[in-house]
Amino acid sequence: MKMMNSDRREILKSAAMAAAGSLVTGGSLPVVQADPGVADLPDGEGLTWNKAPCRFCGTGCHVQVGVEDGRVVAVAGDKAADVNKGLLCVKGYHVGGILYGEDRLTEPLLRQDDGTLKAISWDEALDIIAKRIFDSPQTFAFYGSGQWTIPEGFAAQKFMKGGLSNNHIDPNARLCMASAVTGFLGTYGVDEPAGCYQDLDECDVLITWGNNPAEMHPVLFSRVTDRRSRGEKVRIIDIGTRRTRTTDAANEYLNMKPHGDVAIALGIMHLLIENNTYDTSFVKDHCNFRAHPESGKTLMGEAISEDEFRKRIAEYTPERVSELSGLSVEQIRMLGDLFGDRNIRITSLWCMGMNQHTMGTAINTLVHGVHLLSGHFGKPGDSPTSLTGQPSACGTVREVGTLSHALPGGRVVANPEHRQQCEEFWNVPEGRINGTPGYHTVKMFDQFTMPTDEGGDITTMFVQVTNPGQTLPNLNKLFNDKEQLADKFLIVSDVYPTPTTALANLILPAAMWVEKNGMFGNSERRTQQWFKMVDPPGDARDDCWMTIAIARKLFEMGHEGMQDKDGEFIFAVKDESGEEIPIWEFEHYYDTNVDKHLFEEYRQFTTMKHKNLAPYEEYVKARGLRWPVVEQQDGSWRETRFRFSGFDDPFVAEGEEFDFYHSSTKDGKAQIWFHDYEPPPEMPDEDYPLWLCTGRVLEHWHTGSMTRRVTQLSRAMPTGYVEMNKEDAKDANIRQGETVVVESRRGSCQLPVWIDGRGRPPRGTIFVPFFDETKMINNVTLEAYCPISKQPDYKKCAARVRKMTEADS
Amino acid sequence: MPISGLVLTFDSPVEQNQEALDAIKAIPEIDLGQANDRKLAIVVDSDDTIRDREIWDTLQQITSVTNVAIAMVAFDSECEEEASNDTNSQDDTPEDTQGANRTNV
Repeated sequence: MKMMNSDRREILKSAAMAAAGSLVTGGSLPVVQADPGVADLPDGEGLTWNKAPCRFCGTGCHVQVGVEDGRVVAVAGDKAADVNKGLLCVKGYHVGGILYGEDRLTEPLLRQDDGTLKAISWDEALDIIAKRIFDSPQTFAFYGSGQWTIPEGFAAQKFMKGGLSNNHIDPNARLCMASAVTGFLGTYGVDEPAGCYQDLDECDVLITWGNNPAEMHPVLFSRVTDRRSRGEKVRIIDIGTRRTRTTDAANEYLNMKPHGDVAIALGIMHLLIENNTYDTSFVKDHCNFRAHPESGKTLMGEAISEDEFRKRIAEYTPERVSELSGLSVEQIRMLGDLFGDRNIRITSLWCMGMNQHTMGTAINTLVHGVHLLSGHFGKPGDSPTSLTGQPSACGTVREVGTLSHALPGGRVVANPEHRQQCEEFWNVPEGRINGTPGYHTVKMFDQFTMPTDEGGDITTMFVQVTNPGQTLPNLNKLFNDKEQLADKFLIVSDVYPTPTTALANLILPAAMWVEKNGMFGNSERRTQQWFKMVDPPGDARDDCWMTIAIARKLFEMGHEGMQDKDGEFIFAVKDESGEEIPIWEFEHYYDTNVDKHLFEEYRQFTTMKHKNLAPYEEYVKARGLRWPVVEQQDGSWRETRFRFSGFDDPFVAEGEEFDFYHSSTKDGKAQIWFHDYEPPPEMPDEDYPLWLCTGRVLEHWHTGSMTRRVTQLSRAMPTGYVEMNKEDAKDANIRQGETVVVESRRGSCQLPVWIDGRGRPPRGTIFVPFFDETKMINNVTLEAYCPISKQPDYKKCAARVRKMTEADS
Repeated sequence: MPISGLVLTFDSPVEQNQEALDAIKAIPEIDLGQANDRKLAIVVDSDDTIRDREIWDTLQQITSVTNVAIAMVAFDSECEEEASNDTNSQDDTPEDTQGANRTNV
């Protein structure tokens, strides 16, 4: 073992003690525009500390990054950050390690006819991409990410919709939170949570709906468990299809059948009406009732009367809901009583369980409806709150609008007025933006992997910052077929080899996290900023630069879409003397702060739906600010914790208690929806008798392409597995650790069995995490999706487990 | 060379847990820091990741310690190099029967 320089070791020990000591001394921490907060992390010779949000989940913890000799050497929780108050989870404190896996991609690689890869120059790579787009711009698709930074997503969005007049741009966030978006839109007429993480500090009851925050958002969950350790009473009710670490901390666990959440929400609303415990004045003053028209399902539905709502909800008696959901009648009545009590504060939390659901939009609107009907809304601790899984699913996807139907700032391509507004902001000719929505994720990959002569009209796809070769459902249908299609061209920008790069024709090496400037937007509307701290390895470069450099190639080739109304390059950045800075040449990319230019351009869009953002420099000073951020008379900028509530939201008129100012009914009211329960699209049967649920684990982030390179995390959770019920395993003569085949009608996967492990599924249910690329559970999953959000359901399909010997036969 | 700053939370004020404090002080790799109410800051500076893990497990097993939180971790290539030579996995997780196989370009 090499010995560390003793001075450096002492400095790092001193920093470690300072970081730990700061958490012990506690005290209230600054919320907005915190001071640098690093004074007690000692700098040493060459050791410097700077802020950045964590690279992983949607919580948006801030870290302090210690850099020495151009390398990240330490990571500390940032005590000046309101989100995490100095704490980090096991992934967060190893986040620096993700930069230093030994197999980082460092040069562009072009696949040859014999399947081998050949290193080429960046200029050659850009020429190949630009030529393919120039020759067939409308068969090009851009697949992005909730891990795109805000400027990266904005550049991609402008390139596609404002440049190529092509709406085939969609992100991986379609797979994780599209149903939350449609749930918010259908209820409030505008996306994203009204509350914030403060709800977790003030609720009396926390209900987790198919959600495991103890593992997936551990720092957030610790805000609740810490309250208990301080002697506060917080009742946690876990509604789930399997026991998890969240269940371990819960006061009550309610085991539901898959899809049972829809029935449970309907049952609670039934009881609120039947017992007359709903909040009559809140409903009268602030709510309307809504349902789908008979002609079919739509995002906004149609108005129904309260009487009609009462008539329909009357069908969902506790007895019927018990049958549909698997909960006992007493448990359903307990929930009904709980919501009927307005002397307590209730926060509901959900994430993938409600979003990855063929009734995803429906269950999202129903849980909002439970809170609205009961009046548990709009006060600290009284809130329906969805969490996101990616660091900028909110900031980049939902706010910048990098979805196939959307435009920045809550605009949509199908609306001529919205298109015109965006064309004006972008200074592009009228009619440049195409009014037809592009392909959503499942459709996009279906078209890409379908032979061209059979109608597969996507021929070139650029994938940035994501790994669809592991995350798409039913991979044998939606991704693996690419290998046989010689005329389809896949371009992948990533930091490490993945199952997606394995089928790529052209691989581009990317910079990541603190190797570039960036901005994220977390689950509580908090926009965060950081600066580049270290250089990327080899010839790896920023994703945003790639998009701009491709656009510049097309501009030079004469593509009209790459010019604005004045004939200038759509990404032109000029210096103080008016000279254009050649940011498309990487050696000049950091001559200016491109992020700042793009953000200030994007910021103009944000006022149209009251998602106002502050100037870039305000985010440099802060540990993030929650929008809407509004300038005060003294020139300072004020963030908003609780939207629609008169006590905090600057857009609610003085004296008003609530105003849903983007109401789809244009009367300041939110919508309480009714949906009938529908069974899942595929259910266990004689041949495939088990429910399969997929998900994540504490130690690995999503597909594991980063965290599996961190030795400590990989050691802690080295392999994918199938979690089985003990009795099911016994019946099938399956032993602990035995490798089995998990299969469905779509494909199979070999996995070791873990009985009574971290999670405990009930009889008839198995669980498999998707982080392990050597065990691809998405060969087995189903691509059925919510008809409104187009988000697939990874949480339930029919599967079976066979011993290897049986499978062979 | 793992160095980490940790915060231990006890089930009662720190000074009432003398037995536990003696046990922690007996671990030579640990330096004690500030204490406040039920929280105690410590730094662990161990020679390798195996020892780091042992110390972590020991701290978690002290009955009056209700939580071990991490405030800072220092790491570098030496640490990674050493850890990568260690193939032990946690007892309660399935072993990686195929090694840490990953996609090659």
